[in-house]
Amino acid sequence: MSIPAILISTIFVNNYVLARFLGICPFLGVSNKMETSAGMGVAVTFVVTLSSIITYFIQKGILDVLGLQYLQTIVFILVIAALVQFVELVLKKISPTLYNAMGVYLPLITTNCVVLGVAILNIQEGYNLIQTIFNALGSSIGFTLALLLIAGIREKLELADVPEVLKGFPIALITAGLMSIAFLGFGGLV
Amino acid sequence: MKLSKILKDGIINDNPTLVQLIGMCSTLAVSTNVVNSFAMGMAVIAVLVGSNLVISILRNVIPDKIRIPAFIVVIATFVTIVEMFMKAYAPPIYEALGIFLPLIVVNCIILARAEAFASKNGIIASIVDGIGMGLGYTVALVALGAIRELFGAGTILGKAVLPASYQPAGIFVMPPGAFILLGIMIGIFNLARKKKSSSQA
Amino acid sequence: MKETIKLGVILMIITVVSAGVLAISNNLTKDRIAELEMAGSLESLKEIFGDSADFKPLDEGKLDEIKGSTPSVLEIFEVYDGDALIGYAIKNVSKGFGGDLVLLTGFNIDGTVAGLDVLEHSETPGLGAKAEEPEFRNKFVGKSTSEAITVEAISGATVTTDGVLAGVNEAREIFNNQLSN
Repeated sequence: MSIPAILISTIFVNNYVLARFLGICPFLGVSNKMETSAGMGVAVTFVVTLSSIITYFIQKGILDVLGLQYLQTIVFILVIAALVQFVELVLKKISPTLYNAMGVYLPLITTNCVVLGVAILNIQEGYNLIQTIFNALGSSIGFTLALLLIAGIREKLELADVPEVLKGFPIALITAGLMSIAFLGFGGLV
Repeated sequence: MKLSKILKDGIINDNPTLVQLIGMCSTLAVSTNVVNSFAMGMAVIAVLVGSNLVISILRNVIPDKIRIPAFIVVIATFVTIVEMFMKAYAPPIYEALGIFLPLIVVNCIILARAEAFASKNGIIASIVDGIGMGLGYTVALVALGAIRELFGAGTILGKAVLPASYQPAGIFVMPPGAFILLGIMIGIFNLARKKKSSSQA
Repeated sequence: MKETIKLGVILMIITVVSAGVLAISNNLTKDRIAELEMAGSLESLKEIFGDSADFKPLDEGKLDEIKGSTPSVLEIFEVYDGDALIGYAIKNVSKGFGGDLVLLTGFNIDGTVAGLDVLEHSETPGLGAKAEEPEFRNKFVGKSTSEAITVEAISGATVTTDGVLAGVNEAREIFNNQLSN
């Protein structure tokens, strides 16, 4: 697949949140405010891209060579967990400003299925390094876009008269459903 | 704690999907029909019981500082085993669940139970907790799967139950249907719990 | 420092034990998985050509040559009835609406389509997913390979139909130009 096709596909057509259901927990959990959503989006983009590159080299350089493909899940999740810790430490030392903006979201990212999902899908789709990087970028931009869109809607929803039992998660899910219908319109673009 | 209470907590009072609202990704993704929902539920129960058991056994051996990575390793091991056996003995289901099978590793339900229950309780209680939570997840998943399959394809378990004149509403099996139906289901569950607690009060 | 090493060792032990357990369960399941993968294609091949036919993977050198010019080809099988070569089956990838379509197209040596199977797809249930139903697939049976193959589109799923047709016609050209002579 060409680079523009990968980007359009991962951001719009097969949006990781609205069409593939990856990263739903943070999508619903931190999407109350625009500001926190933006912070989460930046943190996810950073970690997804970095972990995709690292897991790519581990898969091609170690697992494939030694015939240990069956250890993929366990190795990838450990790499991601370690990477998140490492990024947290480095950010704290080097750029306290950036740490303040991203830091609180980092621990949440280990169990964000976008990260592990993208790492595994890169390998399954047989992407090369360049495609892997753009697939990671596209999918995290798609995640951020969905997050920002729903945060914008939810800020307005707080003022709306929603039935008591639907407040919070249920109405957010229904909103996500309507957004997902809108995103269906991108179908067949690539 | 009584075992029956642990079981009931998992299925009703602390239902992971409908009350704790965790493990949403796989719930939304694989609930396109009853068979997939049930298979995913069984896979999660197997992993949950296995990881709860091992973590409960090791709870005094694993130092506090490294408990999260240790839990993740144990969980990932069970997930991979389930994945291998499904691939070998139920390939169509393995294909249907796809990426969401390895992603059980990051399903918040499992890590949450390891952290909140298995690392603090005995072996038997932990196994029962795994079964209860797993069943709670399965029940919600199968209910969602049944509704989506019924309206989206007019079938249940692949057999036509609605008259042929029924035009299946494809939106139910597509992603938007999953979001909207789950939202409504949680709303109804909230309503039921609220009624119950106000009648008890 | 001592503390760190101790923690590291404990985590290492857990990881090594896990890897060992996985190696065992991999050994228990891998033969069956490999068997099933071959059987998957075999079942589709038998559906297209009938139970009595025999199948042999195409000579590897020739397959690599075809793959070199058409990278979307995955596998090619020769079909035999006893000793006589009666056809070919080509497994290739095409693009549908929701993602890749993996197709297996069978050709009779006399230049007609023997049958089509959709092995993998991620099309919309109720619309594009109808491509895997016999009702659609059987429309291909008996079509001549001498001209581009067309069929009536699945209603509501033009992109899927076009994807299947593109894949089938690509296989048809390989059959015409690189196999049948």
